[in-house]
Amino acid sequence: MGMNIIIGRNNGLPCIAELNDLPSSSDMTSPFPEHIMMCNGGLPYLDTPHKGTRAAFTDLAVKMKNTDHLYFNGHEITAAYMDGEERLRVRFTE
Amino acid sequence: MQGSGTISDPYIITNASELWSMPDYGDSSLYYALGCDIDLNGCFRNGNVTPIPLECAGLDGRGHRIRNLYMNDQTSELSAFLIYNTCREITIKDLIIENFKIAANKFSFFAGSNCNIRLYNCTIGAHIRANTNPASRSSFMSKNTVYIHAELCSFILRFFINTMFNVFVDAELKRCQVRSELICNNLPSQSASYDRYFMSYSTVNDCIFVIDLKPLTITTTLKYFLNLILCTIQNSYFDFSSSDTTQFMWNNIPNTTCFCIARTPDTTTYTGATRAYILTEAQAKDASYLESIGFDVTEE
Repeated sequence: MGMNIIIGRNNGLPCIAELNDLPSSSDMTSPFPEHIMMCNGGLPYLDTPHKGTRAAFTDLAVKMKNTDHLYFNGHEITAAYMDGEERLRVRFTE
Repeated sequence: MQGSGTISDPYIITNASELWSMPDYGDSSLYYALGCDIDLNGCFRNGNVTPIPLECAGLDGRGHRIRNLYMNDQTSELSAFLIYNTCREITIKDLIIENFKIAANKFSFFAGSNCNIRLYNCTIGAHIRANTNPASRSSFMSKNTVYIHAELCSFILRFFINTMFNVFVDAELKRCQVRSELICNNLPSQSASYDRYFMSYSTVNDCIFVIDLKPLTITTTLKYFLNLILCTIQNSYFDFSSSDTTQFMWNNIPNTTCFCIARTPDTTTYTGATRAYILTEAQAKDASYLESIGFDVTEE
């Protein structure tokens, strides 16, 4: 069947018409591990997620504000947010 | 689960527990489908290093995603999917696997024996850290006698590996595209061993390989060699970039015209073969030029 060169596709290189262009690896594999965290006395820990963790998120946010830096397993947490199911997620550098 | 397990009325998987429940039904002739995206982030399975069991005839992703599988046991051998011995052929279609992050001593995406995995219109995105090849004549995508037959699939793979081993072995890739970011700790010197090639014993038709090699340790005597060995390869190309001296070899002659785009330092050496061309990016974008060397391409 061969390949196709299509304007606007694959930076002008031959592509497989039926497929979308390859995403970057960072689009398919998050550069940061993403885990659900909870707070235990102000320190985050991994746990089975369940709903209603908004209080824990508040604790974590306060902790971050006070210290500027929060770490998990020696890795600095770079982002914390609630997902659509109201679970707390954080990201940290490897 | 809803459904009856037939091809026209498959069992519908809607959560992680159901995804791990195929062996409970215990029949390799059953069919399953995803009823929604399955996010394994925070799933109770995470950390248990338990691969997703496959005991079925077919898994239809229906365009949904399985995402965020994390495994970390760098002293053990892990796999993302474990195929049960009762299975001889499994078809997986229209499935997106996203952000699987697995660190292991040895790793293969599909582990099992004597089974053909047919992937159709699937996308697999994974970040794999491993020390060594899972077994002789195995690869990071499949172990032992699991043969991957992929058509219209995209693989986006980031490897952090101690040294180079096969990414594909005993695979059949048709109209597929592969992005492979290879971060290698130790580059091997050239070896006759077939398990140190990017791909071996495979058949490749109309495929694109985008390979970015990032060696961490460089000496003048150690070179990474992105060879192809004992493959039937037709009308495919490699877009190959490397941050340092490497060696690219076509170890066997393609069956039809293929080419490699070189995005490497001047010190990189290329060993071509009949019908294996080393092209500039401009040449690779020129449909007339590609046609003139025998590459099957149409400009639209």
